[in-house]
Parts: sequence; C-alpha cells; structure tokens
Amino acid sequence: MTSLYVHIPFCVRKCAYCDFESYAGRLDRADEYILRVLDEARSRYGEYGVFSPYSVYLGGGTPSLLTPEQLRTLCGGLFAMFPPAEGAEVTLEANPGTVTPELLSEAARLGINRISLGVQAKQERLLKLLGRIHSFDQALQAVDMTREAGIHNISCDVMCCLPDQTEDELADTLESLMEAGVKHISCYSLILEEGTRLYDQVKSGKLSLPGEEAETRQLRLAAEVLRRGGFERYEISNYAQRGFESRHNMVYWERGDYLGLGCAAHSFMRGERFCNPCFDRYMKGEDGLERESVDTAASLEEEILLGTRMSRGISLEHMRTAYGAKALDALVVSGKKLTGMVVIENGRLRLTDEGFLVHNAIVVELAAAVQDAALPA
Amino acid sequence: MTELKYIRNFCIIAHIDHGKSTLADRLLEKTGVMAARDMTSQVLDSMELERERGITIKSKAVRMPYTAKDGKVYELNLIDTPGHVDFTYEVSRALAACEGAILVVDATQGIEAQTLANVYLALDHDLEILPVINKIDLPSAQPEVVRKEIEDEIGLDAQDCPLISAKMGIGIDDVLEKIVEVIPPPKADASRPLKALIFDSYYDNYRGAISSVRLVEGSVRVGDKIRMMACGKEFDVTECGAFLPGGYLPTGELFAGDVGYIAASIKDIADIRVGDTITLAENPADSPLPGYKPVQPMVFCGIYPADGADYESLKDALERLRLNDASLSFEPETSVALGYGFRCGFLGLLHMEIIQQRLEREFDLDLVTTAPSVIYHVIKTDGSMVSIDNPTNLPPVNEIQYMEEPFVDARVITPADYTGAIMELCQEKRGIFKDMKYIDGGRVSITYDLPLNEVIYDFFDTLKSRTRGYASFDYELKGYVESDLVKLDMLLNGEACDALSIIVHRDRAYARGRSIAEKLKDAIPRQLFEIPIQAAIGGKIIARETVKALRKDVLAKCYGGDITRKKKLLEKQKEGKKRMRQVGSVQVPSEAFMAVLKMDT
Repeated sequence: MTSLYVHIPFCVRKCAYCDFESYAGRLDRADEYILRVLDEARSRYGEYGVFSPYSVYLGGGTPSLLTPEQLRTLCGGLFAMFPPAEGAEVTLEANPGTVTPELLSEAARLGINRISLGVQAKQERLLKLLGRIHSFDQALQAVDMTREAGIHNISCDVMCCLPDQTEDELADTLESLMEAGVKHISCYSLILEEGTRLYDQVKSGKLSLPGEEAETRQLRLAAEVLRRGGFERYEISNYAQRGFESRHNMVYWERGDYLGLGCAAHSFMRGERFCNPCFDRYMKGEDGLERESVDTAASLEEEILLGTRMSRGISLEHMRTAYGAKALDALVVSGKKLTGMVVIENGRLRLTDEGFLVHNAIVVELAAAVQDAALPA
Repeated sequence: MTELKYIRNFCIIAHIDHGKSTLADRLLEKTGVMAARDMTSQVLDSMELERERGITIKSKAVRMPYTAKDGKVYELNLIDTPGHVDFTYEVSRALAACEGAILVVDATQGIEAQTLANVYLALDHDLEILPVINKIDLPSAQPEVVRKEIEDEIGLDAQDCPLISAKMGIGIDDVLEKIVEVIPPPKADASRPLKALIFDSYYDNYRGAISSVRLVEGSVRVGDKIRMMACGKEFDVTECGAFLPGGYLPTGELFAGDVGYIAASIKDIADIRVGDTITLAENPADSPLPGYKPVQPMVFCGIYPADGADYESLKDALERLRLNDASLSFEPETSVALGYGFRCGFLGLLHMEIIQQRLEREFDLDLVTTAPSVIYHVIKTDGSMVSIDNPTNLPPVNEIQYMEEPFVDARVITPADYTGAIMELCQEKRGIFKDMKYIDGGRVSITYDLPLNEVIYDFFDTLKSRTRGYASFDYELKGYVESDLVKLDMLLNGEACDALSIIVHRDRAYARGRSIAEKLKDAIPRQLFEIPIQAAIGGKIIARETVKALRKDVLAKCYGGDITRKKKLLEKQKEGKKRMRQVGSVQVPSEAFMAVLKMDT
C-alpha cells in the first residue's frame, strides 16, 4: 500500500510561524508548476510502476489557491497515472480565506473526499499575530461551504501554546469547531522555527511564549476538551470522531510507503527516504539532495520515534519478528521503568497522555536501550 | 671551546607579570640571537598556554654570544625558569645549572610572595643574585622605594642595580654588562672524567629523548659512549650542542661549564632521569653529582574521557605529556559513575589546570575531572597507616582511629588595606595565624599555617577577588596534622555517586554539602522523573535539593512526511544523552562533576 503526497507551494502571504516551502506572489507560475509535477509523476510512474494510492494528500502552501481548472488539470493527470484505490482518503488542504464554492464542488467531482482547513484560532488577536489572512467567521463559512459541496469529512488545524494565548481561548476555539460539526481536529503546539517572523519577535522580546507550565496545561486541556466532545486522541496532536482518523497521517507513523511529488516533497519508498529540491531547482528539473537508505538500526529507531506517537503504540509482536527478542526485551524493560508514562498491555507498548507530554525524552530513552541490545558494540 | 672565564650561566627569577619573559626577549634581541622582526612576543614561552597565561611552565635554555665593553666575546647561557609556586621543583633544577640569577622586580609592584620564594631558592643554591628593577617607564613606578625594599627585605645591595624597561628596551645594555661583571664564571675542570647534570629532558620526534645538561666536569663529543650513572644504561652520543630559541645549535662537543643538550638515540624518556649524572662509559667518574629529590605530587584528581571510547587516546595523551613533564603522575582507576580513567598527581592546582587544558587543546579530548584531593593519612584502629588520595578508597569508619591532613606554610604579601580581608579568608579556611610584618611601601607580609585541602579548593580565586588582584601568595608543604575529617557523599536519587565524594573537615562539611547540592541542582538537566540530590555524612543527610521532573518535551507539530527532520532533532537529543553519565537511574552531564570544584559566590 502506497500513499501519495503533492506539494503546492503557493500562498497569499507567508504566515508568521511558517518555515515550510511556500511562496507568496508566485501564483503566476502555477500552470507551469502543475505541468512540472505531472512530469515528475510520469517519471516516478516509470520508476515505480502503477499503483493505486491508499490515500492522497494535496498539501502546501495553499492548494486551495489553485483555480478549479488548475485543480482539474492536476488531479486529472495524476489520477490517470495513479488512480486512488477503492475507499481511498483524498484530502485537499485549504485556507478558509481562499476557498470558493466553485473550487470545492470541482474538488468533490474530482474525487476529493476530505478537506483540511487551517483555522488555527478563534480570536482575531491570535489570527493577526500568526499572520493569517482570514477571520474565524470565514473559517466557519468554509466549513458550511465544504458540506454544501458534498464533502463531510472535514478536519481543522488548531494551534496552541501561542504568545499570550489563554486556556479559555484554546478551549473556546476547540469547542466552537466541534459545534460546527467538523470530524477531525489537529491540535499543534507552536514550535518556533528560525527564520520566521514569530521567531524574531520572540527572540527580540516583543512577544513571549506562555512558558513550560502554561504550555503543559494547554496540551492537557486540549486533550480533555476534545475527549469530552467525543474526539479520540489517536496521535500526539491528532483527534477525531471514531472512523474519521486520517489514513494519510497514519501512513507516516506506520512507516508505510509514500511518494511525495512537487518541490520539497518528502518520500519514503522501498526503504529509502528522499526529498525533492526547493522551488527554483525543482522547476529546472533538478534532483533532490538528501537520500537516506534506512538500515535496520535506523528503522528500529524510526519505529520507536513514530510508533510511540500513536495512541495505540507499537506492536510488540512486530518488534520481535522484525528486530529480534533481545530488542523487544530491552524495549519492554526500559518501558516498564517509565511508570505512568508508558503502558504495556494487549501486546502493545504505548504512551499515556502524560507520556505524550515528554515524548522526545521517552523516545531517546527507549531508543538508547533498544539500540544497545540490538547492536552490541 | 670558549674559555671558562668567558662563560656565564644564569637564569631570571621574578614574580608572575614582573617582566621576566620580556626581559629574556630583549636579551635575545640585543645579542642578535633573534632579530626584533622575527620575534613573536616572548620567544621562550613557546607553548601556546604559556604565552596566553603569561607564565613559564618548562625550563628552557638558550645560548647568546655577547661582546662586552672589555672587547671580549662572552657565552651567555640563559636558563628560563617557571615562576609559579607549583613549579618550584623545575626552578630548583634549573638553578643547579647556573652560577647566577637575575632577580626582576616590578617598579610599580615591589617584592611579591613568589619573588621571596625564588630568592630563597637561589640563595640555597649559592647563586650570585643580580637585582633589576623593571617597568621604570610606567607613571606609577617607584624605583627608589623598590630599591629600598630589595635592600631591606632581601638584604641585597641594590645601589647599582639596573633600572630598566624591558618593554621599551631601556637599560638592557646595562643588564648585559652586569651579567658579565657580577655573575661568576663556572668553576669547572674539563680534564677530569665527565660529570654532566641532567636538569631537564624533552622528547624530540627526530632525535629521540634529549637531555638538557650542565657539564660540571670533563667533556663530551659526538660518538662518545655515555652512561647514565643512576640506571647504568649506556648510549652513543649522536648529537650535542647548545640551545637556540626554539631550536638546537649542534656543536659536536661540550665542555665543563657549558650548558647544552645531548641526544643519543634514546627511545624511552624514562632512561633519562632528571637529576641523574651522565658520565663516559670508557672513563667514568667515580661518583655522581648530588641529584634532586624526586618530585612529590601534592594534588590529585581523577581524569576521565567524556566519551568512554576515548580511554586509549587519553592514555596516549598522558604518556606524551609525561615525556616532557616528569612531575606528572598517573595510574588507571575506575569509577562507578565515570567508568575507566586515571588518577593523576600534580605539583599543585595550576599544574593540574595546565595539564587539563593541554589535554583538551593539544589532544582535542573532552574530559571529566573529579574534585581535587590531597594525600590524607589514615591511622587505622590496628595502628597501621594508609595514604589516601581518592575519597573512594577511605576505609570504613569503624576501622579508622584518626586521620591527618597536610598543612602548608603560606605567605601572603598584600597592600596593608587588605590585611583584614586576608586574615578573614585564612580564618575561614581554618588557617592558624603565624606572623605579620610591615614591608616598605605600605605593604604587609602575612604568614599562616593553612590546610592544603582548603588551599586547593578555592583559595587562589577568593584571594584574588577579595584583594582585587593585589595580593600575592606562596606556600610550601609543612607537614601532617591530626584533623577531624569526614567523607562527604553526594546521593542522586538515593544512590551515592563515587565521583562526587570529597574528604572535608567536619566544620566545613555542612556548608560544602549545601553548596555542592545547589550547584548539582543547576547542572543536572530535568529528566523524566524528579531527582532528589542529597549530601550525606555516613548515613546522615545534611542537605537536600530537588531537580524537578521534565514537563513538556514534545514536537506536537505537523512536519508532514518530513521524518528526517524529526530524526535530526532526536539525533541531537541523543548526542546530549551520550555526553551524560549514568549514575543509577540519573543522567549526569560531565559539567556536573566539575560543579564541586567551583568557588562559592
């Protein structure tokens, strides 16, 4: 089973926290870009042969900036080579400030059955601080518009741990979205990335982050509010009503194959991770730089890093068959020491909500223990 | 060969910063051995560390031809000596190769504690002392006051002493003339069997181990078979000659009275014992020259590689350093917390610091060092005595009858204003007041008996900060005194960490325990669980701190399929963990072990 990701790097403006490959003011090159992506798809088709994606994700940037015609060209060409499998999840990422009924009905016609809206927050003040181009009312309108277009699997991205954000504000944002009837919410905490406006503002002291205690409270609160609303946490930052967990998301954590098309898109195909070059070089048809063949040691580490992000955790049986009894023993022994943070039951090792809060530290701990056992020095 | 009456062997002694190295540079320049343009500042201090810290660590020698006013050409052999108290041993070796010493005194500072210590050493060796007052160009110079100080405090005739500025090149000719005039030529007999005193040794990659020698009697030339009188080993001389700045001047032969080097394809530096006498195998001398007392390390600490895999590299590095530093001692030891490392012995705290820095810089090693210790005498209940330089090796309390610790004779010279501050400090350090007397220029010389383990803790730094750098300090070992000592253990999450234990006086244990616990609290990063830090004597907890558990450490962010990025972040955290030591269930960063060394604020 293989999934497909397509990166659309265009934006109306760059958000204050964003360090992804995205550009404002290059939309005039969208037609050219789509042709280039289809070109790439053809060459990958030659490389990997035909496959029917288990999930497709059109992400960005802002894919909803494309015109209905552009979307049709892209999806038409793409799906001709890689027709989505029966029941595949096909997602379009959308900015509430750019979606139109025309685009959404075209999307539905093309087989897109899930929309992921970047809402981020309810409060005008926070939206402004993040550099978003839309209001919360626009976000709610986008939700309605999506449903009217016949797409009911709607996800929203929300951010927490923002400068000056209060717990009440976070709870209000989450509750309002649940009330609006969305099925899936990703709640991300702000991670300051060098080179972004927000990073500079925080470093220069113009803005300040809530601090570790408040951030911990916000992350706990998000889980609590969402659970109360019937949203199960299935990954560190992903919550959904039963049956609406994102397949595409899970492919990343389950280490399934995925092919990334477009500039700066990441792929994991047949045990190899690679990444396409950034926009200018991509447009010239150049190859990517980083190529990593994931060996046994690295894949063992990935299993722990990624598997523990999911609420259901890691399958112990899988660990034993793939990496041996010693690695499994070490994992279990080291996991058992982390009382209250790690649970081992029903043949799986998983993190609790408290464990999720310190996921990095736990991964380092488990990975070190397992590595020592699996690869004696 | 140069006739004996035209040879002058001398050294320069001075307190740190009084201008010894600058004067040496000027002498080299004036005699044409080095042109001014070739000189990086302070040629003799060739080690990077020496230049940086303005100190000399190794003694070195250099030959200078000088045409005096009488028209004759003299051979001046300058033997550079370390100025710091830690290196008294090296100084005394160098002094034995000289007939005279130039005593440099700073015209703005006057006599300091180390000046006196070095003068006494020189007098012990019957050297003729030529006082020189330096830095007369400075506005605050008081040459007349200093001249009187030299006469009153040391009892030297300073009426004709050169007033110079080594920095500006003033008075250098005068110094050269005085060397010829005041310092006696060597008394030596080249016709007798060879007796050459080894006053230093080096390892040269091309020539093998090299002896720095002073020929007292006889002569030696290339091709001669020499014998080391103490160990009896024999070698063929492949090269001999005089020293140039940073190099060698092969002359093919050396005669009584000369200072120079002998190379004889000696592979093992251990075959050259400093203090030994070299003679000829064919026509040996009947008795060796009086040698030196073997050096006794006074300060010990554990040195461990930060990464256990570097153990062999650390061992090689220590061996390489010992080639040129006989005073460094080390032997393997293991620590539960730190793994495999070495117990190292040093002449003093500065020596320890320098070795650590050289290991880090010249050998690019990351180190973890434990708190320095002195040698304690433990008298057991059965009456036997054991020497302990590592707290971990202390016998069980019920086997100890009593313990003794080393005391030093300490002298502080300070402007009178700081007398109170210094006495307070010495009192805090369990010092016993001995004497105080006024010196000219509003200064005071204070002597105390101090426990060495307090001196090595933070005495220097505190003295410097409380006297704004004006006081100078010197000490020598006095002897052992019975003392109420206890072993202070640090417990991390209930488990004692051997590398953090120290031996300390009972009266100081509470304060030290509290301060170490506080520092550890800051040095140990938060982890998945709360970590109690306790200081304990025996079973009794005397201080406690807590490192709170980690609260939030998660990437709750959408990186899409960019797993590589997540992995890189993880890699960074793993690197951090690698630099930590596992003590029971607690991860302790290397820096934390150093926390116990830091001075109280």
